[in-house]
Amino acid sequence: MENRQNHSHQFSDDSIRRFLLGRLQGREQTLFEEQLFINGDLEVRLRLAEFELADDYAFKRLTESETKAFRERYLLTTDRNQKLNVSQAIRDRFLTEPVAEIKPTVYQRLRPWFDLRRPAWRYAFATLILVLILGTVFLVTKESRIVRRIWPDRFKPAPHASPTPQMMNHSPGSSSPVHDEPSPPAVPHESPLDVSLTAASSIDQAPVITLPVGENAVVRFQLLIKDGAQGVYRADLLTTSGETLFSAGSLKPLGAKPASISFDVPAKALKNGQNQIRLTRTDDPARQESSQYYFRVQ
Amino acid sequence: MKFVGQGMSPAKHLKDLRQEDFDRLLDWLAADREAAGVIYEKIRWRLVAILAARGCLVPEEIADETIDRVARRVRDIQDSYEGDKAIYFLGVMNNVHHEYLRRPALPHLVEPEQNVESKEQTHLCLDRCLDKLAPYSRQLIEKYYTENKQAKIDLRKRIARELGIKSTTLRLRALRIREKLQTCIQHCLEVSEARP
Repeated sequence: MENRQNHSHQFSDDSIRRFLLGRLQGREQTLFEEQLFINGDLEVRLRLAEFELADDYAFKRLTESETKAFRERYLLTTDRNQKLNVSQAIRDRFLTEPVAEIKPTVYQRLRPWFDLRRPAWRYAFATLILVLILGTVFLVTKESRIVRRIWPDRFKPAPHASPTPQMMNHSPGSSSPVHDEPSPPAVPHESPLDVSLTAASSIDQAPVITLPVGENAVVRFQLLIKDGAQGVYRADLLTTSGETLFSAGSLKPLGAKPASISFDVPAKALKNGQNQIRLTRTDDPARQESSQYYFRVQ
Repeated sequence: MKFVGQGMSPAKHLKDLRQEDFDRLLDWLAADREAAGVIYEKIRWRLVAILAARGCLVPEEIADETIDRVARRVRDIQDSYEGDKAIYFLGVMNNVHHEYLRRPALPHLVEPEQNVESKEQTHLCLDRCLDKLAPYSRQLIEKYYTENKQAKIDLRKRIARELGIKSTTLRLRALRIREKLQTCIQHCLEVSEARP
């Protein structure tokens, strides 16, 4: 018994109020009930707390949830209803100012705005979905432009020993549409030096070229071949001593009058002095004749 | 005094509490009948408070049914029972409450609002009971209830300071006066109702 009575001191005024509002849980509720039967002091405190709670309700000092609990758990007996009547009479008698309604908390004020059942939210979601659909359609149809806009023009790598894109991807007789997209402005040092050579050129009459400056400088050779020539060619760039400086294969003629074969050579692959290009047809073993094209580098 | 819970099951209605059982109960609680009456009221008040806290919609009925059952058993237990008698009520109440919970739920009947006439009578009784208070108590209670919200807190601190007591002591004093007022007003209302 002594031990039990010591427990009564554990109950604060707040615990007593929570008991009255039916908010004690499990073990706490059981302990409170036991103490209420064996401890007179707790009973006295509880009786006084009943008056205070009724007063607070009458003076509108309870929160919304406390008010609800008060109505559901407190106002269950005639005795308590009579206490509330007296509390209201005291309020009317003494309170100098009218009792204002409980001001809603920030949460209570904001809660309606986040109520998803509000029509405003429905419209907002519908608009959002519409925007997403339109955005998706726009992205799908305009993707290439956007990608180009987003990604800056990269530094173009120097052309290597490969046929020009047009040669590689479009046969001379192809009817595929010409790609009209304007190419981005070339960086000055990337502009190839165009050199047009004819097979008839002798060593003495070989044109002189000045190599463009720059790490990635390119010389574009255009070798004129006889009209109507077809097939696949290989070009070897040699010095007069026979040293191979550069080779390019799978070259196809372009144009008809005159036909020509075009390929790019890195400027740094060339050596000063006399050079020659040997053009050999590779697709037909019976017609493997070679043509020589001479030029001088200074 | 109601001896049979009106909301009880039909089987319970058959068991009307006999006067001799009730007298035996009071004798068991205390030799002095007046003291027994006080104990009886306290036990009943506690039962009602607990049942209300548990959410029982008819706490007074269940409390009365509990007391009835104990009264019927007193004959069997009075010679052998040891310990706090009030605790025995708690055990019986748990059983009765369990039975109540198994019954179909009844709609909660809200107490009707106090009508205008009744309100006026309560105000009249309040004034009369205030007049009956000692001047010190009346002054204290008037000050205690004058302000609301933050002004109330400030005022109560000031009153406590003026009286040279702690705020908690002031609160207890005020609530005790409030309790007296309640008793007085209840009596006043009962008397006024009894008048033709």
